[in-house]
Formats: sequence, structure tokens, C-alpha cells
Amino acid sequence: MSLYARPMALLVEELAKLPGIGPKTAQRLAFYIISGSKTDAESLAEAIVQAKEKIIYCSICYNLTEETPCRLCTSVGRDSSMICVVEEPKDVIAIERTREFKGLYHVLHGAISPIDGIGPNDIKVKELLERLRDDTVQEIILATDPNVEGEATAMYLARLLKPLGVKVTRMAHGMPVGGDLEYVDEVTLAKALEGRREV
Amino acid sequence: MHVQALELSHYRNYRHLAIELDPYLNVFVGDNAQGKTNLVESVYLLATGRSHRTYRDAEVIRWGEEEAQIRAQVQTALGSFSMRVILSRNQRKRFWVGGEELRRQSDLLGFLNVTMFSPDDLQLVKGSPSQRRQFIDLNLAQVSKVYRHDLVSYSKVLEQRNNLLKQMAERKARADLLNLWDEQLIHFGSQIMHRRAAAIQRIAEHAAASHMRISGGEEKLTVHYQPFYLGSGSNVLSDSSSLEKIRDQFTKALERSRSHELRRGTTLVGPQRDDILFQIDGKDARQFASQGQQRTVVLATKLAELEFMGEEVGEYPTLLLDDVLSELDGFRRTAFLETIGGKVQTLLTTTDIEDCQLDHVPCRREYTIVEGQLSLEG
Repeated sequence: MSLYARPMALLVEELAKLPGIGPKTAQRLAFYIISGSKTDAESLAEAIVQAKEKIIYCSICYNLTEETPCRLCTSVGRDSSMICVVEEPKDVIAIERTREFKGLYHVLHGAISPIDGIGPNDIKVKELLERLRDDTVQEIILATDPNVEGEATAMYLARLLKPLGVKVTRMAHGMPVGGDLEYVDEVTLAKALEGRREV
Repeated sequence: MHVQALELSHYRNYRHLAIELDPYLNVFVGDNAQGKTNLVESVYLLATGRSHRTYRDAEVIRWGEEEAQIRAQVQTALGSFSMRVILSRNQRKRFWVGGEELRRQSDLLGFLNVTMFSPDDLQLVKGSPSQRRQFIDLNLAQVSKVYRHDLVSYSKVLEQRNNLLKQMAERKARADLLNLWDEQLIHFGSQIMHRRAAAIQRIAEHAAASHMRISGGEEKLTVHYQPFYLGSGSNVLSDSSSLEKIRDQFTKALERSRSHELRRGTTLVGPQRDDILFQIDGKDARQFASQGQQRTVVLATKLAELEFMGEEVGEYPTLLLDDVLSELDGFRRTAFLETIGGKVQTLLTTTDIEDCQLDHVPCRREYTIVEGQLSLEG
């Protein structure tokens, strides 16, 4: 028999399904919600339902949005000759935070990974090709994760896109800026050394 | 580098143990099944993140307890710091160095370097190739973070590629996807092989010198790296000194085995099939060496391992000698102790102190173990 009253057990169970939340954290969160006011609980529940109802995929870049096409895709200030390809919506946020990239995005929603049964048809590759039908796009920047799956996905896209006559680039591995050389982790340092360039 | 103090809680047959260790020789004497191996195992686990005896972490947790803890204070040329591992029945292992929690188990390697020498190692020459690969990998992984990264990446690529090959064999995946993984397989695989070749060459030099000393100069030991593309049992030696040559051989081998791989549904080439070849006077020690000759080879190789790691890091690793000294005859034992004496921290376990003939070894700490309880002698 459960130690909690049934509604409480249900709440703990639901919270524990979230990524990064173990049974203990779920219990802590559940107790916090129960001990708070009814309005707090209602606005949390409402926020979850609203987000789930209103957030959709942009029909062009497949980023999460409230309206489609999304604000990035329709913005006149963006350079539509460049598309930065990323794995997840959170990667768009990371690059947007730099305020340095003025082009458009394309979210793949995953990377090629045979172990997980994910092939090229399971991520938004067809949708990317759709966007290259006219000559607007001049450059595709491959910004998939720097791990083995991200590299394989980047290689797949490069082989697919290059014959179409579009310029294909890959994000560089490199040194973190502003830090001291001696504190950089050895693997990053070795990679940066491998990708050194003439000055 | 050495362990200054060790503390175990609910670890195997230890309820609680706190001891200080000598920077050089520490001897643990006790009958069988009193906890000698458990003690050296705990130091190995603290250094590498896993036991040398089991893959199931829960096995090291004392019966009826929820979690086990290993703590140590470690002294290196860079300073003194604490290390801690907690193993729990229901949660993943957690590691701390200098009070800071590490994100991954592989981040633990390199803080406290160890070399284990147990009766299992006497099989190094005749045992399986995987045992010899583990030997070289643990040495390199402890001294190079880049090697660890390459090993982890390689095994990831290999797993992905094998999965794809299997799907292709069942006609569930497209054939043109294989080359996506080939490039990374060759990249990480060649890096691993290039480092293995260089390390084995250096270990070979030290091993030959030690072997000369232990065998009284009568026999010549040579140790060779045997990359997978030479095939097992081959006595042909290759030039694996340049990364380009290795890449080239790897690429060709991959092309040659493609149709075979598609039929079998698994990767058939790569450093997961490497080996190390031991020769005495030019003859393959796997086939021709006597039991005694093999032991001498292993002993010389273990000493070479200490020298290699000592050179790479600038400090000797801690040597864990589990019940192996009594397996050696008097002459080999003396040669071994003379080499390590006064320069390598050693944790030595034995059932019989007389057997070890340690009389001429000065400054040592001696503990007696009875049912997980330690008492300091003298």
C-alpha cells in the first residue's frame, strides 16, 4: 500500500515522469504544491495546459511557436539566405542569445541514431529540402551537437545538400573565449589544436 | 603519488575502517576470506570508478546496508586532496574529488593512478586478447583524458554502426547510411591505435630491460603492438608509427570487409580486435613459453607499466599487489621488491608474511586482517 493518500500518490507519480526528476524530488515538489495556495496550484496547472494547447510547430522551421509561420521566419529583419540547422528548439534559444546570427533556423527534432531507431526519415530533413526549392538560401550552417550522432547527422546533411549547389558549413570546435588556456579541459584543447588555422 | 588515509563504510565485509597508509610499503596479512582483496579492490574502485572483480556495484555493499562509501586522502606532486565514492543499491554511483562532485565516472580517472597486479594478471600472456587490450587501455586512460574521450566516442560509434548493420541485414535500413559512421569509426579508431602503438613501444623498452635483469640476462623479451589488420597469430610486424599509415590501413580493411560485415550484421574490423604480442628470443610466448617464463614476462611487463605511467605523469602510480608475491619464486620476488622499494607506494596482501621475505625491506607498515578488522603490527 502507498504511504500517500491517493491524489498525492498520483501527483508524485506524474512529477516523477519528468526528465531529471527522481522519486525524492517528485515528493518534495508535490509537498510544495500541496502546501501552497489553491491559486498557485491552479495557475501552474493552467500554465501547463495552455502551453500544451497553444504551442505548435512552425510550418517552415519547425521551431516551437504560438503562431505559424513563427516570428523568426516572418521577420523582415532576418537574412533569409542563411539557415542554421539545429537538433532541438533549445539550441535556437542558445544561438539567439548571442544576438550575432541574423539568418533563419531549421529544427531537426533529433539526430540520426540507429540505437534509438532514428533514421533520416524520422527527423525534419524532407522539410529542410522543401525550403531549398528556390534560390533564396545560399548557405546552410550545420550546428548539430558535437557528439557522434550530431557529427553523423551533419555528414548526412552535407552529402545531401552539397550537390544542390548550396554552400554548406559546419560550426567549429574551439577554445572558450576570455578564459585562461591552462583551465581549458584537455579534450577541448586537443580539438582546438587539431582545428588550428594559419594567421 | 600516494594514498595517505583510507576510510571504508559498509564496504563488503567492513563495517567501518579508517587507516593511515605508508607512502611506500603497506602489508596486509590475513587468512583467506578475511577481507584482504576487498581492501585493495576499494582503492582500485576509488581510482577507476569500478571494481576489478565485478560489474555489479551492489555486490560491494555490505549485506543489509543501503550504501557503501570509500574515502581517501591522496597526496600528489600537485597537492593533497580528498576522494570519495558512494555506491548505492538504488541510485547511480557518485564521485567527489576535493569536495566537488564529478559529472561522469570517466572524469574520475587520472586523479589517483593505480596499477593492479593480482593472480589473474599471470594470464596476461596466454589469456584472451581482450585482457591485453584492457591492460593497455587502463594505462592510457589513466594518463590521457584525450584517450578516454576517444575510447568513449569510438565505442559509441561502434555501437551505432553495429546497430545499423543489424538493421541492414534485416533490410530495415538503407545501405547508403553506413558511410556516415565509417568516417568517425576510422577517425577515433586510428587515434586509439596510434596511441596504443606509441605506448606499447615505450612499455616494450622498459619491459625488455626489466626482463633482462630478472632473467639474469639470458633471454630477450620483445613486446609488439599487433594492430587488428595484421590478423591474430601473425608474426608480421607493421609500421604503425604514423597516424596516416594507420588511417590508410584501417580504411582499406573496412573496404575489404564490407560485404562480410553486411552478411554478419556486425563490425568486423577496428581496435576492438587489436592484440599485443610477447616474444622471447623471437618466439611467440603464447605458444612456447613455460609457466615460469610467462611469469617473468608478466612481472617485467608490470614493472614496465609502473615506469611508463611514472614517466607520463611524473609520479609513480600506487601499486596494488593482491596475493601475487607468493606466486613468484625467491629470485623474482627479490628483483621485484628491489625495483619498487622506496619509490612506489605499494599495498600488498598475503596469507603468510614469511613467504614474502620482506625482511630486507625497510620502513613498512604491517596490518593484520581478521574478519574485516585491522590491527597494526609493531
